[in-house]
Amino acid sequence: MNKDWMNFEIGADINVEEIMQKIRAAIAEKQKAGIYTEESIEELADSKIMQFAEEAEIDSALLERLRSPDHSWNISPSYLITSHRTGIKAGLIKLTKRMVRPFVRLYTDHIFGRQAQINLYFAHLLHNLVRELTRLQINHTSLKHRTDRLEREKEFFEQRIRTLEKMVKFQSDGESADSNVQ
Amino acid sequence: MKLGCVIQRYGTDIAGGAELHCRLIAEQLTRFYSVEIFTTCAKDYVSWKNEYRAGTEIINGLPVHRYPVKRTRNMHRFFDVQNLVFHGHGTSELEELWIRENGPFSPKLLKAVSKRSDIDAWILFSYRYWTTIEVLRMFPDKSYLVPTAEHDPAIHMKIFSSIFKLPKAIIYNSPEERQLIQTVSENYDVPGDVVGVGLIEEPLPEKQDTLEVFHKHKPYIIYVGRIDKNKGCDHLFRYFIRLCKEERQDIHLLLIGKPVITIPDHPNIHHLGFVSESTKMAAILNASALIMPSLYESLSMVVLEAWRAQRPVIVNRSCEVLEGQCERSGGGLPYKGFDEFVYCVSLLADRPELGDVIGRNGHEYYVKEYSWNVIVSKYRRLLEL
Repeated sequence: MNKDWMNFEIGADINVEEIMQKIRAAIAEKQKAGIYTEESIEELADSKIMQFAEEAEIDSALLERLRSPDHSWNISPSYLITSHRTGIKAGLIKLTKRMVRPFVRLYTDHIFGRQAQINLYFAHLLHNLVRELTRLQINHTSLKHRTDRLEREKEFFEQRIRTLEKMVKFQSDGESADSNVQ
Repeated sequence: MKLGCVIQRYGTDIAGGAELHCRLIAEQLTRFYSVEIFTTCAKDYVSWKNEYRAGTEIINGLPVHRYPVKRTRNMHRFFDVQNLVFHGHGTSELEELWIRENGPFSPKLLKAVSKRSDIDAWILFSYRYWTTIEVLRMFPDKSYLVPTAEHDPAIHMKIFSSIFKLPKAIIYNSPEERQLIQTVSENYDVPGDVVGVGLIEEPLPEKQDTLEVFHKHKPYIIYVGRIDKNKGCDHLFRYFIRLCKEERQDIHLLLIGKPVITIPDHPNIHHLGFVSESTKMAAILNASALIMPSLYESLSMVVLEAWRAQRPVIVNRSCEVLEGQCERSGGGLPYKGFDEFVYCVSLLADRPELGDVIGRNGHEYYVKEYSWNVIVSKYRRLLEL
């Protein structure tokens, strides 16, 4: 880490926001130079995923679950049996629901199972696509910076060549003029 | 004036944030009011298993009435209900069920409270628990709610938007908490104030006297509290190990508190375990900074402890409360992501004089906002509304 940015004056009043701005500027400089590690790419991809989710206005609780390493966000064939009634009535209704459930699940489990697999596959695919896209964008930016720099260097050298050529021409013109005078 | 404080667990051996908050406030308010505590026999906040004896005992001069929890929390059932509620399928019946399953379900506590018409004001701690909600429903005009709310999924349950409109006043921990609650519930008419809590102010050890003990680890940052994923310790470990691998090997991380997750075996990470209050404060005094990686905090008491000791803090910027506290006080650096973490830690480790100035800012803020005189006078003003 380049520590030049740390050399700032410390007065009696310290503005934390100013310090954080200096830190962010130093990080931006580092990133401009294309210094990204795998984990930095992960972080960037993650913030991109968050941004997409925020734009889509996904429920924040669901988003939290989508980002968690387990697959609790996915659909599941199991469900809680409840009843808004109370007392014996509620007990009877719950018992009936419990008895009916195996037959219902006989027909619905494989559909839910397949859908859950598809959901998982697409979630995995999209996450990896965003990650790959971020990596490519970083590479692209870094290559663009490099091309710009090369372009500037090329222009500089061309300018230099032209100047040198002019100097040579001027010298040779001067020499031929001298010989003509003689 | 008679006050009743309702809290899910209570005791000098319970270190939980809201529980300690309740105990400290109750002990301070006894200078002006007659205060009684109403709580359960539970010690464990996950199972709510009855561990204390039911009945009344005196703790630090306060009568504490304990009532048994009728049934322990069935985590399997609780998560089933929570899954449905947090997935957005929460009908009001399911949300009521969530409150009951969350517990601590103690009908005896509720019955005892219902008989205490002599109590002039109820101070209820932690919005999410059955005990708080039921007492609030029973005595809305006498209730003062200390929500200790965080930015977690429970706050977005529909039921809470009506619950936050019930109390006579709300005692918030931070402006961010007030904004969060007002946004979800639109309870702008309910009076309230940002108050928070003070600390147990034992004399601080002299920095020079304790330097020798911690010198071998210097420079170090320190984490104090439950070592848990919920507190952001997993990413703290990941970032710190990466910092040592990629940037510098001379910095150490000291940990004080109960580990809930495995602490990585790394030569620069040192777990001090349980230590005395004076050792803890000595460790904070000699640290380059105290780190608070938690995403969910309604008020971090350990951050206040660092400021009391005039030490700077490094906090997770994703937690609005912590970021707001650092912005208002100038007492800490808020980071987001690995790069900012590395730069904040390196800056405070390499320029200790800067850390001293930031720590002093934090101290001034602590004295202005969190000294007991300020806290108690705010409580008295609200209680005498």
